[in-house]
Amino acid sequence: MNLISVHSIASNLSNVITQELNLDNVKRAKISYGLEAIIGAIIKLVIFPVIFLVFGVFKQSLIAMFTIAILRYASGGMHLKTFISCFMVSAGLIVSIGMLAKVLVINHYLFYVLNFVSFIIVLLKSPVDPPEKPIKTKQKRYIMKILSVLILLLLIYISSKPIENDVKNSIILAVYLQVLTLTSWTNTIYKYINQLKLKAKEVS
Amino acid sequence: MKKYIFNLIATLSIIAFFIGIQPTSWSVGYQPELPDELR
Repeated sequence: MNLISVHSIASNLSNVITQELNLDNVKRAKISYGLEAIIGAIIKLVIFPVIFLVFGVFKQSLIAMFTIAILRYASGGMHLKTFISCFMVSAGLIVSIGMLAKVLVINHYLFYVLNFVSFIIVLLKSPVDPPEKPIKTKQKRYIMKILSVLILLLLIYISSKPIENDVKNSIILAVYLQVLTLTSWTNTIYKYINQLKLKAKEVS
Repeated sequence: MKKYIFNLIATLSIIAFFIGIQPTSWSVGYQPELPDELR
């Protein structure tokens, strides 16, 4: 599948800006990285809500998306190699959570058992950093672990309050999905997805 | 005007770089690859 790559758009735009403003190569790299993150975030923020609306799960999926984003910032997790594969997998999973959240009734005992398992996984595994960009200091790793546990506890607390069932399900299913990305078995699935030819076309 | 817009984009991008440089992701599943110059 050939699509224009977000990376190449950011890279080309950063080259133009650097030449125009006479900036050095390190600044160019920082601008390119930042632009790629901004363009990716804008695309997701614009297109994801439309997809959620189309599938009739706007509220549930939006809650799930922000729950994952908040927990993921501290806990990390597996990454996909290209923007397009990440976009498609994320959209598919979040829409599925939205659909499940509307119909699922989670048993109280199961809810507490899964929350306990999630807590243990986050406590043991987080933060999961990508090998190409590891967390360098032990202190930072420790801070991220504490932050992950606190965010998880806050999300569990919110979901255990007497709120609408679909909202509760959206939060808790998103938490379980995010916790699963901390475990090693998702490596296999992500490797398979990365092998698919979801590569974007480089433009020069 | 063009320079002003480019400056604005450059500043926003560098802010996004400092936020997004966290080893953990700030979004759903993808993180831009770190350029060689910044490793």
